[in-house]
Amino acid sequence: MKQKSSYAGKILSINLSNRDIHVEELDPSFVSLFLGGRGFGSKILYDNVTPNIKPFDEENLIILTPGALVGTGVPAASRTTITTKSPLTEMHGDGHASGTWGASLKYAGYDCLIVKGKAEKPVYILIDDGRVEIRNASHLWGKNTSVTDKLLKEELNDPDISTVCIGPAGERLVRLAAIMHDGSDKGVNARCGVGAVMGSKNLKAIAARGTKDINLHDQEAYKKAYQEYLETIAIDPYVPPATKYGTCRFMYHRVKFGIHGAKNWRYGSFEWEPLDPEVFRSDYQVKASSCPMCPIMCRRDYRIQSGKYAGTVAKLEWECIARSITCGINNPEIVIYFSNLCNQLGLDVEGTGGTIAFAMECYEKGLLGKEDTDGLDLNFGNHEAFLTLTKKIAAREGLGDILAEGCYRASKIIGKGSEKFAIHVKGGEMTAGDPRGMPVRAVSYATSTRGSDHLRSNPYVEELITPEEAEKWFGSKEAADIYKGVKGKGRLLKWSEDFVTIGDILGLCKFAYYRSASFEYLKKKGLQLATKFYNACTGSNLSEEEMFKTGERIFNVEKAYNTREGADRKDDIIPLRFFMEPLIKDKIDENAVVDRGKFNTILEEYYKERGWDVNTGIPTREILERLQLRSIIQDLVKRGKLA
Amino acid sequence: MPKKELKVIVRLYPPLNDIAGQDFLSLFIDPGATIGDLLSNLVSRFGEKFKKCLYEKSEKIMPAWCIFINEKIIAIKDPNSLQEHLSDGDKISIILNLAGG
Repeated sequence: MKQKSSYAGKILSINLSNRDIHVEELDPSFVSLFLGGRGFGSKILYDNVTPNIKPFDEENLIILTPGALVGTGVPAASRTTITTKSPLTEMHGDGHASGTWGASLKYAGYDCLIVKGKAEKPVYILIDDGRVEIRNASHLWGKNTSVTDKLLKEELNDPDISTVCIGPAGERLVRLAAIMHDGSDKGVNARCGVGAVMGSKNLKAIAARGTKDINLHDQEAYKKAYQEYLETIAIDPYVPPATKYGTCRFMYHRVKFGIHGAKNWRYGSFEWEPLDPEVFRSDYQVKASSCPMCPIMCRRDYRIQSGKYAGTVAKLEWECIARSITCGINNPEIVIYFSNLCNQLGLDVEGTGGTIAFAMECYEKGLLGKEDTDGLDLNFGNHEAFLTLTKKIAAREGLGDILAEGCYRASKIIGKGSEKFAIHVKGGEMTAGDPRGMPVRAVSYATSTRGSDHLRSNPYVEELITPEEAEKWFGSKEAADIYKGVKGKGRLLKWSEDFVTIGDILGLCKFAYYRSASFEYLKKKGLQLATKFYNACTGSNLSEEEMFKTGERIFNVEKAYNTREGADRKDDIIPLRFFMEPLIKDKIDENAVVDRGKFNTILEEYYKERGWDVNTGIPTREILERLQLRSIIQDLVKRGKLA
Repeated sequence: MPKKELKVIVRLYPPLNDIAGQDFLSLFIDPGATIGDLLSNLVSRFGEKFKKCLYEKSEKIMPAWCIFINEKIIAIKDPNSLQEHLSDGDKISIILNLAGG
């Protein structure tokens, strides 16, 4: 990168098998199409990890890519994507986390780190400006994440060095394993089993620090965009609840709409009162903080003050509460303890909670007995069983060894019809709220490119648009109707997927840019200001249309990846339960299910809007050409996978 | 003889409750009052900040707000919904319809 730009300008590649360390210049034509973050990761994965490579093969990659705006000081731009072939879905996989690690990598001079191969013995990587070393990590192996981070900081004599590491779960190739930033103090690359792939490489941790400057191309434009951003969030009613309660705030919505999905996605209502956001705030909160450079400040530390788990502190996020509810848990101290336990062991709370809920339903239905559970009474809501099983999963001990495979694979092992209790999409456990009664949300879980995921799109746009806006943007007033609307929902879903992909490319927080109480504010933050920040930092001259098209391009790269792996329309589906079993104690619509007719109508409109083949759900030459993905066209043609 | 006023209970969710300084309030309203009248009443009680939070610049209610009367959702995006009449003992909740996680 010759001009003054916030890109560091280099890619660092490390092969742990032969200890080769390689640095190459960032190719400007690659940058112009994929920008950074999830964009870099998705394309590098496509180009290098082909269908013959299995997730735990040495040839699989771990690709760490800070978003293009990470390290620039842009508000809430601190997220790093970690991309790999997922051991859960055996398709495209990635996790996203905030923290300082991405900025440290850029300060050391790199926009991307690619790790391949497998070390003979446990190692960690030290990136210290231009010095890159593969170091012995035998003394760290087996340690939990906080201890690992502490020991690394002591060993490197630097309390501020940024680390990512795995815990015991990743070491044991638990397919629900996560990668933690600075122990359990910062973000978590949680989804898709990314931590297990790191473990398969005998890679315990990566520490990074650097002293290089990040150059902003246009300081004045940067300051102006910054001011506009602050003015926008100052008037957005979405922000104050986030600042007051952190992500616990989502409870009120979940309760009012009755979409908990409690007890393995069966109950809309739940005895939630002990988990009221006010309870967490008044009884347990010891610290309010933020991710780097974020003015919204929705991070929270909660501490258990007394009793059996006294002294436990966790940076609790909403999804941990939600998945505890999936297991029938409504004790805030158990939720806090579960959060900390997962963080220390290096587990994804969502996948772990979802998989335990699956086991609890198997137990309830008599498919698992005490002889299978090492004597654990796996009733929904049993605190001890919930926490003990979490530890067993990380240790691959007893039933935990089966559940460590994730609910989909575990159901194949257990058999006896347990498959219908495994609530997953493409092998990834379900997240967020119950989709029954809200058809586009059901479709959004199905079309996500990394398995079930509410963060891969923003169908919540339907909540905040007027019928007039819906007609203008999505072709039908119906798109503004959450429950009954069908027409226009496919276009809305396609728009929202491309829209939030921009955030993952640039490293922007979803809450800070891609949620709002107003469609006007949403577009302003997530597209207009995101584009202004990108141009001001990098010296590019992207239009908003080009930025949006970049989001679309990346989504299509991931879709093409999954197509190459053999996925098609039959995989864009949600569990049968949501079509067949009414949500119990639903508040919105008695006997709510996902209407299969509406689901298919929205899915087909979505495929048409995407330019994919409606019958097979796979990309066409026309759309990939429009998105300048010619090498992918050639590859799919060669494999007979292009529609 | 004047008709008896109706008593309704209003639950305000964040951030409206913080602006109002209370989560719950009991209100006496005129017979025949609508949900639109209730919102006007709340705006006059709690002022400009409350209004800016609830309404867009166009004076329409921001569509992300969701109003429940006794657990029944009012289709707030339909302007006619504001004409829905309230009854004695109604419990009204006003909550931001913002899902996620």
